[in-house]
Amino acid sequence: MTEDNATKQVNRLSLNWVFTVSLLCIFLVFLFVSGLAYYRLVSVNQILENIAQNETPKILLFDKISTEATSLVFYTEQLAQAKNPPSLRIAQSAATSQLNSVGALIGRGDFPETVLVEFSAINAEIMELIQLVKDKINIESEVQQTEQSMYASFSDFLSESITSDSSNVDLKKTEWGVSFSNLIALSSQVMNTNRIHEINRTKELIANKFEILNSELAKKLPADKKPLANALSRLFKLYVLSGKGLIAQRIMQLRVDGRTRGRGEFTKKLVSDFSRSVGFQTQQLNGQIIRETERTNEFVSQQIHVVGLSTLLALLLLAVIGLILRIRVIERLTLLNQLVLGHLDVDKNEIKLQGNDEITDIAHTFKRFTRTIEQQKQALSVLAMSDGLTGIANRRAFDEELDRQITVAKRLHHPLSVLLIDIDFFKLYNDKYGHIQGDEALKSVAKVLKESLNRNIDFVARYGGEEFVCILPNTDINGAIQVAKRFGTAIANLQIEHKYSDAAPYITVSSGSATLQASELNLHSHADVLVKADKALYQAKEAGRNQARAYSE
Amino acid sequence: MKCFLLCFAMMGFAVQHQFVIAKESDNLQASILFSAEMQLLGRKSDGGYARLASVLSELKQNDRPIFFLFGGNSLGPSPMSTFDSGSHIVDILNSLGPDAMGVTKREYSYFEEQLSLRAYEAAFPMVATNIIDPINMSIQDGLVSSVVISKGDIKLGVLAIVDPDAAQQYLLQRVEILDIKNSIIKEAKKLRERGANVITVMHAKQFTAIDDLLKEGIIDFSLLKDRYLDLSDNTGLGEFHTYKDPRVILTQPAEVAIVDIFINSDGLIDIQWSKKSLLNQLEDSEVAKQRNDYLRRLDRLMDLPLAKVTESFDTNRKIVRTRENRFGNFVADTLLSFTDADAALINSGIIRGNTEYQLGHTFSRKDLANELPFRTGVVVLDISGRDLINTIESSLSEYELQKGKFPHVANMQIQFNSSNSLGSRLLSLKIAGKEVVEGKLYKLATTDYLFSGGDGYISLKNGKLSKTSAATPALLSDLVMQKIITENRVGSPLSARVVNVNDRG
Repeated sequence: MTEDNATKQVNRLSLNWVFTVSLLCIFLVFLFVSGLAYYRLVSVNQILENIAQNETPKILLFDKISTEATSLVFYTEQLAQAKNPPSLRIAQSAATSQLNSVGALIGRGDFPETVLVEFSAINAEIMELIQLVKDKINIESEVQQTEQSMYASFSDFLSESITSDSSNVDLKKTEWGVSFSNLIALSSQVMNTNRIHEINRTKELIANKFEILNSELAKKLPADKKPLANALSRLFKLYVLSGKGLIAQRIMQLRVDGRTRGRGEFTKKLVSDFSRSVGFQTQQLNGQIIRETERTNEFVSQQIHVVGLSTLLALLLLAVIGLILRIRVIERLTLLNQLVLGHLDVDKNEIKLQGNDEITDIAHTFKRFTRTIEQQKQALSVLAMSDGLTGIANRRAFDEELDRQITVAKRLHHPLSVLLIDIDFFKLYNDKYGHIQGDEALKSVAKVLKESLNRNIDFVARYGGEEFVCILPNTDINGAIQVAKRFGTAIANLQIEHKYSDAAPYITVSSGSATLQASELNLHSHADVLVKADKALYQAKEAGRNQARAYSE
Repeated sequence: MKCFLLCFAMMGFAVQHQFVIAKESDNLQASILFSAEMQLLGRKSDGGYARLASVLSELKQNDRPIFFLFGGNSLGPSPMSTFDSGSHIVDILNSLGPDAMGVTKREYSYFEEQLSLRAYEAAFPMVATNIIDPINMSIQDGLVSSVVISKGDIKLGVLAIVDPDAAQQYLLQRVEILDIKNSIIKEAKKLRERGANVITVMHAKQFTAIDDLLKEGIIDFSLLKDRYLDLSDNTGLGEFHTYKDPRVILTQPAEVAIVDIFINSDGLIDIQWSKKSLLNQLEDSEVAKQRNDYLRRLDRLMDLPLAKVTESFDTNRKIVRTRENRFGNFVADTLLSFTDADAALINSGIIRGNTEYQLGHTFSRKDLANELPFRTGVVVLDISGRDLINTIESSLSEYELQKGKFPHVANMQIQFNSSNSLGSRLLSLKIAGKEVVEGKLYKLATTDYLFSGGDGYISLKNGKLSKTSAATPALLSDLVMQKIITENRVGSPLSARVVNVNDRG
């Protein structure tokens, strides 16, 4: 047993362990695969959520700002081009409301500093541009007013109506008058000149001519014309040559025009830069999202591969586990079952049950039990085949043995003899000496009979009550008689007192033998030989007991 | 030989120009104040318009007539001009009131149309003698070929010359630049017919044609300001150049010239000129206010800090146009960062800052606008190795003249020998370490200016716009700004991208 235990510990691959590990593996694989799938799905979900909740709205916002900013360029242009207060008001309101909406949109997003600085600059620029355009329009109207005032002042001089003062008409015809008309014409020219340096040249010209007008030409005038001429001169100086005069104003207007254009260009460029800046951010973000989406795509494909592979591996693992279980458990259990069913001789171990685990434990245990059973079976068989009292074979054993010996005798062509031995007057002995003594006597007789057998092949059994039977293979009539006589002598020598026996004062036996030749042996021989032996015994009893008789036809 | 030529030149001037040293008996008739080359309002080292204005008003207090001629070279490029194409300069000049302004190639920084608009805004004529609009065969809209200004006894005829390189460098499409000599001869004749008794020409670069015309007496004196002119290697100037020489030459940023015109007893006209520095002058308050307003407007947009300079770099003109440069590399790298190109190429001419940036300096948007004031767009081209090789070869062609065509690259390795003859300077051209194959197509990120053949990059025009090139090209300055902000640095390390094997430095 200790050796068994020792082998049990070494190289033991317990099924408990196999099952635990297998189930654990399956469980872990399942956990791993689902965990993996779950985790990956969560990641993808996060990315998609991010794209949907953060980046897409961001792009839409940027896009919107870009579009609005582009509109702003247009409104800025409108501003710069505004020619009169109403159009300025319209452009101003459009531009400021557009600014506000862009500003609001910017507030919603997460923009880099550059964009914020640009926008604040744009705001300031547009406000200043509005002011400048106002100035420009003001100056324009001032210039026009000055021009109109000028013409109004000189209308009498200039007009040729019949109702005009004759003195006026005369003045016009003088050299002074002609020069003065020229000067007025030159001044109007200023209104049509867009080049400041040309105006400056014209101014010089006018100044020179004016100088001559007031000095030379004025002197030539008749005295009554002089006051009018002086008045006109003064007006001319006021409206044309002075600091608030037409020329100065016109130059200022052109400069402010230039500044407005410059500022307009500046602001437009600023706004379109801003729009482009936002557009660029959008593009970057777009690119980012596309890259992220591509990455996510790749990631998802990767995950599909990973999860797919994991699942495949898991399935493979399950298959392997299944196979292992099949081989180690199912097949061996089947084998064990076959062993148990007794299709194979357990003791001979023709097919070994491999391994060292619970199944082999069962096999060993079963082996032990079968051995025990075998032993018990044998014991039982022995018990079943022996007489309880005397210990020699019983009737069942005899019947079997007789059948066997008949077969053997037939095969070997030997004669077969059977001897029936009966204790004389045994009932009387039992009555007189008691059952216990009776049992003792039976036991002694059985013992003597058994000991008297010479050969292994001879067989003696208790046939019933006080009757014994003996099988003598390969023994003819004479041989049987001799054995019978030997039995009789041996029992007589026991000298078991039997006062009440008529045959002798001790226990004696009567026996009858029957012999069958090999050729006589057939299916009925079992009963036949017993009938004959019984007839021979009857003869022995009839002849006075304590003797042997052989059957003869 | 050199000495002989110099002596000959001097004699030539003395004899042919009837050049006489002014004597006290000569009558000083008028003076001319000449200034030019002031693009940046904020650059104190230039002197500035406010100081110029005060010098002018000081001069005007004298009893003799003062002409004020402005030599141009100021409408661009500059950060402010990026937005208003020089409008602010015209506005300020209007306050100063020059009698005329000469047009130079830099006036074309924002192309012909804008210049015409500026001319209309100007209170003074803008003169360009050798420019023509080929469609109507007359001067470009708004400009004049010449102008006659009369003050006192002097009728001053003013001409101005545009550098013929402008066509290629500034990609002029709508105007043609005529031959200098012929244009001046033709126009000078007209001026004399209109009664001009003194004729001058303004220019921003030395031309031998002008020297010849002076000798021949077609023109009486010339006015030149060029801070990049190196007098030391110029024959005919240097130690032989005096203030009697009819060639008035200014080479320092804050210099102005005062040219005195004399009429001697024979009725002949002589000149004598002197230099004056603006640096110690007071500022005219009106003009200063105007300038400050403009600077304020620019600053509120541009005063944004971008990144701290962690390794000093220099965009000095000479350095940038002759060798690999940290900033040039950074700009080229920007092109590579924002496109899917194999390599990137820019010309050094778009880098205008001419400034050294020290470690720790906070590089601002203004600094960036100073460096990259042009509205350059980014394009991606599919170009053959052959065209690329030709392009790089031609970019090295005027190396010794420090032209803006000198290249800066990314993911490209150029090896050249500057002492080789033209057309054989390029020794090796590699992209990503592999020698460029003539028949292979490469993706090149570059500027729309170069793609249009600017600065002589004609072979680039053979390239085709790649599919990935944006429909509306992004502005290079925008992208560079993004890169500076994102990577929090300015400048890329030198990595032997452009190597001159002839270099000892």
